Amino acid sequence: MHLGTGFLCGAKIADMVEAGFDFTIFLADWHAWINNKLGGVMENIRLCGAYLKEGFAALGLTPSRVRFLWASELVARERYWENVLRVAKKATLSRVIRCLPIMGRALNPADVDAASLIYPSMQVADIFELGVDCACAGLDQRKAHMLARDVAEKLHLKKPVCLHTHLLPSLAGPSSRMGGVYDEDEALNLQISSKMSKSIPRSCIYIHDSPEDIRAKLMEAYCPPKQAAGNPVMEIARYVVFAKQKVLRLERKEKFGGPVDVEGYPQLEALYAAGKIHPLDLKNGVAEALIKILEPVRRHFKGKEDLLQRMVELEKAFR
Amino acid sequence: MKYGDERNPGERSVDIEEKLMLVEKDLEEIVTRSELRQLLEAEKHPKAYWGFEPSGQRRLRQPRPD
Repeated sequence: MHLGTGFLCGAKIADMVEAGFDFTIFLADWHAWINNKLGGVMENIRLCGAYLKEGFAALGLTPSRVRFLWASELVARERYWENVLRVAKKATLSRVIRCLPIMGRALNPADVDAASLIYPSMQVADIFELGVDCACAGLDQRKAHMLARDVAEKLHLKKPVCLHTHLLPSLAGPSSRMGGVYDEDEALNLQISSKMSKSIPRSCIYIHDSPEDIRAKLMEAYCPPKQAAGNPVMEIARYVVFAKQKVLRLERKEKFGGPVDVEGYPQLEALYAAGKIHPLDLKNGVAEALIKILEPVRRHFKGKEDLLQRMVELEKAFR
Repeated sequence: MKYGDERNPGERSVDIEEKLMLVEKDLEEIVTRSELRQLLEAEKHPKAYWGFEPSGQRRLRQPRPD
C-alpha cells in the first residue's frame, strides 16, 4: 500500500469516522480486473485486497471502525448489472470516454479495450448501489463523481457529496514523462500525471518499507532547493509528517546550523523557501520521521510475513 | 432536520462546525460545501465510501511503446 493511500486516504477516512460517518472501504476487485491490474488475474487482485485490508488495519482502520466490502459482493446483487445499464443509458459515449483518466488512462482511447467503457458506469452505479451520501476519492476521480452527480439528477436519485483529496506526487518529481493528457485542466493534468508512480523503480514509498528503503528512496528523491511546490519531499512533510506530529526535527551538524525543530508546515515552507534548510537535511529529517510514523505498520505485518512477501513478489512481477 | 437527540440547538451547531472542520481538513475539492453542511445537520451517521482498486501498480499506465 503506498504512502498516499495509507496516509492521505487513511487520514481522511479516520477524520470522517471521527465525524460520525458510517464508512465503507470498497475493495474494487472487479474494477481492478477490468483495469488489468496485476496481470488481470483475480487471485492476485484478491490477495492484494487482503493486503490492503491489513494495511488499513495497521493504520487504525480496523473492521470494527469501517466496513470492508468487495466489488464482487456488490456485483453479485440481483439488480447490479441492470443498474449499471440504467446509469450507462444516461451517459453519452463521449462523456464516458472522457472519464477514462479515472482508470489511469490518458484521454486518447487508442489502446483501450471495450471493457474499460463499462468501468465508469460501474463506478457510478456503485455509488447508488451503496446508497452513500458521500463519495470520497483522490482528485483524479472527479470525472466519475461529476458523472455520478449528473446521472443522479437524471435518475432522480440522491446526488452524492464529493470529497476529493490531494494526490501525492511521485518521488521522481512532476514530469511529462508519463505522456498523454489526463485532464483538460493543465494544473490538474500535471497533478494527475505526477502521481505516486509505482512502476518507476523506487519512486514510491510503501507503508511496509524497511527503514533502509525509506532512507534510500528519499535520498534519491527529486527535491529542488528553495522550492516547495511540486516537491515530493515537502509534500510528504506536509500531508504525512505534519498530519501526525506538530514538530519536525531536523538533525543537522553544528557547522550546518545545528539541529532545528520546525513547528508546522507553514514554518517549514517559509524556512525552505528562504534557503535556510538544505534539501539533504530535509530528506534526512522526513525519512526519520516517516520511519517512526510507519513503525506500527511494520509491527502489524510481523507475523503476516507470508502475505507481505507474496505482495512484494506480485508488485515486482507487475511493476 | 432530524431531532434524534436531546442536545440544545446551540450545542448541536458547535458539534456541526467541529465535524465540518474534520471532514474539510486538507481536502482539495468539495462538491459542494453547502450540501456537506446540510448533510451533517440532517444525519448523525451519514454514509460514505472510498473505492480502491487492489493493485500493486500505480494507477497511471505507461503509454505502450510504439
